[in-house]
Amino acid sequence: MIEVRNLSHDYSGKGNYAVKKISFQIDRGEIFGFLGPSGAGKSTVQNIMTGLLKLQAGEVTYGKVPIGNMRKQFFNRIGVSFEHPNLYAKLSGYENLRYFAGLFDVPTRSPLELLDLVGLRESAYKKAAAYSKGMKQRLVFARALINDPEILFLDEPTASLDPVTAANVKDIILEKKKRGVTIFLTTHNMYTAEEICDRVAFLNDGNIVAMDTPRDLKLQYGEKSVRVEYREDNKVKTDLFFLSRDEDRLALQNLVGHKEIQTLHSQEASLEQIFIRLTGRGLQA
Amino acid sequence: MIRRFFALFSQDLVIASRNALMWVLLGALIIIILTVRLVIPADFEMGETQYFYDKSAQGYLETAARLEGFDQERIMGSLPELEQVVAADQNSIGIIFEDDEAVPRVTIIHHGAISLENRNLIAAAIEDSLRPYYGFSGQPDLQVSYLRPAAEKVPQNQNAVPPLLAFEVIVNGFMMVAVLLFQEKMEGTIKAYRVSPGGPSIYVISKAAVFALIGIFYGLLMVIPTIGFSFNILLFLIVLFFGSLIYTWLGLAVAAFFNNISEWLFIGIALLMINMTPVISYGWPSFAPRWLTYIPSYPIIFGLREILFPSGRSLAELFIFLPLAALVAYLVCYLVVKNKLMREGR
Amino acid sequence: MRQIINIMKQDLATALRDNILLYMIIAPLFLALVIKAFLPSIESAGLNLAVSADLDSEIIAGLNNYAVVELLEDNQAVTGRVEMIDAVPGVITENGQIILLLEGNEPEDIIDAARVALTAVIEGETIISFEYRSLDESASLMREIITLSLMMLALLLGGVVSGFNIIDEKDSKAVNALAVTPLTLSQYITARTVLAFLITAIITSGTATILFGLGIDYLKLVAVLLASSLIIAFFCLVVGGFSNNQVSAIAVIKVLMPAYMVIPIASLFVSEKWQTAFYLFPNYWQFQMLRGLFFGENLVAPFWWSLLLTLVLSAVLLVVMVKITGGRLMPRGR
Repeated sequence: MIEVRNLSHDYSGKGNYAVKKISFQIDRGEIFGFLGPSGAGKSTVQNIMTGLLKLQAGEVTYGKVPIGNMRKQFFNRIGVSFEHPNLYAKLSGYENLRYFAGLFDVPTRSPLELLDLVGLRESAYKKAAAYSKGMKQRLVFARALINDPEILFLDEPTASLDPVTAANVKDIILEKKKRGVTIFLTTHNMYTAEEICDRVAFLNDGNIVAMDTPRDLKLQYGEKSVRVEYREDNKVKTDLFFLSRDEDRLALQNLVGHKEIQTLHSQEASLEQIFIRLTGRGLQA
Repeated sequence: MIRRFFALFSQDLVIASRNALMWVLLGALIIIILTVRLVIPADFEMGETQYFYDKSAQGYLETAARLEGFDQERIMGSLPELEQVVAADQNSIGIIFEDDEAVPRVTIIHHGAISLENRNLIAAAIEDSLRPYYGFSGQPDLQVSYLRPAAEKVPQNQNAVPPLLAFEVIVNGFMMVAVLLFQEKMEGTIKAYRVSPGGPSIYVISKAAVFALIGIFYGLLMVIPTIGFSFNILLFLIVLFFGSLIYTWLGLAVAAFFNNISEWLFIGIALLMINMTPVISYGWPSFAPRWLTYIPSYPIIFGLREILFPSGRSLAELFIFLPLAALVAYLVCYLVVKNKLMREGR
Repeated sequence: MRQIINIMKQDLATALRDNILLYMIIAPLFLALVIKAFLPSIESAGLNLAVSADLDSEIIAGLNNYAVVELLEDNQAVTGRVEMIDAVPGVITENGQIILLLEGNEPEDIIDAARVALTAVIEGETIISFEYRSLDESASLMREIITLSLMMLALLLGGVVSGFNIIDEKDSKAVNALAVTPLTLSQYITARTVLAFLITAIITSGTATILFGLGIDYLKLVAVLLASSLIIAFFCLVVGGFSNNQVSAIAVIKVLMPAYMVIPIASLFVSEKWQTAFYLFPNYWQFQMLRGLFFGENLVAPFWWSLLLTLVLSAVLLVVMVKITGGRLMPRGR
């Protein structure tokens, strides 16, 4: 089990905390999602948990062992996929994986096998500099799997990926979960979070504002809503009405009665809407 | 077009001034000023040091040495003393004079090898000093004529300023523009410029203008504390201006062929070193092979010396060379930037 | 050990791309060839004279014993030659009178040399006999400065290039990926500096062989390399640690390189009593080591003393630098 207690981090040292006393725990084999907009503190938490940032305040333990006591063995057990591809541009995809594999004391997977897994087999011997953004992202993801880690840290693993490739990556993540890998995933893509996370935590301005399974969050905070598109002044506008609210129901009635309606859809609350409701801002902000 | 130029020029100036290299250049400037003013002596000599041991009874060599202004510490009392002091000074020779039975003999002790011509010159110089003591007082039928009045001797510490100016101000433009270009490539801002109405001409002129301005400013800051105001400031500024333009454009043209500093480093440093070789000729004027005189920094260094320490020589050739060289450098740079930099990836 | 070798292999693979390694090795070797070719003419540069063909042939022949004579067709050609930027006095004749023609801005020693040469030729007979005795095989000061400067540059290059590799990794954030592996900071530094050392060894051996021939004491050269290894590591850490990108790396090198090269060269122009001012600099002792190896023992210190001092002083510097830059090389919060 991974436990994080009262974690805080202040980059500037002047009391502007990027992360403020957050606490959570992740069970073995769980996919735990950190959902929040850019600047919320997601990467900060991940960097502290992986030892890239020094722990200033709070505790981070892995099976009761504090991160400060972690030695080489810890790094043999984890895999990290970074948000911004950080590859050796002059090396090929194959070489990037091969040399990285050489840094581990544990058996590693075949670079070609991993490249095949993420759909990069044909570009294996091309320089990473020639890869597209999506290809680089896949390579970074593949690299995180090279040592068959027990714990995976994935920072925006599906960013820059087309839907088909993103689906492939999600399948791989779910496959890992089945094998008992614990996964810490940060994203601002609520669809990804909903699809694959066992539990999510909403992070905003360094605070966790909610944490539960996606289903329970929707049950707790979600409201049925109606999305209406209508024409006004020769332009098409959109409005969202939450049916549990009296003022929204009245406004909907008024709109239907007086405006030229183009489309009308009822929908279940999404995690993004819940996030907006809880924080007043969107996930893309 | 003027508005676009000034927009790009201001941007380039701000970026250049925020570069760490600027602070290094400022630091180097302070060190140069202090070194010229406080460290290098005004009468510093690069040539060989002569030490004397006069074994003769008459003491002609010692007398001649004193008359020529050599200190007592150059005149040794014994052969072992002479050999010891010459052995300790890599850049010295020892002159031993003996005169038994009116047969004067000189032994020169030295390091390494001396060419035949230089041996003969040393011998001629010593003989020239001693001839009067052997009754040869007549002057040879030789006239010395000056094309211009003999120039005032330049203190050696100030003499170091022209080459320092040339390299810190001018040749640095070669390196700095490369650094800025690679920064733009790294950041991707050059792509953003390519999809603006700017064009290669403004790009190239703006970069050169920035370094010309910085070069002029830097040059004045170097020269005024070390030499003062006793030179033609207008001519000085013109040389710095054109020198900076030439080297900035050449630097940009070379850098455009590389993707980053690592790739550029060795070629860039090699070209910089080639452009520094005229310093050898500056320090050892006898060494001036034809190929050396074709390097652009050669006329620039000597031109700067003539401006800072006038000796009456004409600068017409320099002022014809500078704008022509700048034009050629501009054309080369423009073509390279247009076809390489602004078309990369197409 | 495996991780260290792995990083080194990776660095080598990167350097071989885009021929950087090739440039790294070829550039100093090429420079050595150029210097070897030109040094004799620089060293023997003495007096150059522009001489009119109208002069008596015996005078012209005599002048050839004192200077490099450029024979020009007439007085006008000689005047044009004297007016050129370099310091070449002219010798012309007018109505049977031999004239030493000067521009007016020649250095005093060249004027004196021209005058005594011409006087000697005109006088004809000599009254003094001369003997020349060389104390040693040591070379001119210029040869020492130029060749040893190139050797010091060769010793520096590997460290600088390794420093650039560190910066590349920081720039691309690839170093973050290394930081979440079992690779320790000391393994990382070792890998970088060992590779720097190996590259330096190749460059330095090649440069030394070109400049000084096959007769050098290769055992001592190996000792010089080993003693310089800590300075190489120092450079690697300074360049890689203090720069976050290639642009700031150039700024660091611009400070480092002159300090590294100028300090020992300046010591050549300073009297013995002021030599102590240089004693704390490891590059000063490195320079003395090189002098001892290539130009025979010198009076500052014997070769092995210089070697020991290079090692000790550079070890101190390196320890300090590791402490300062360690945290800047790899993000390590633990």
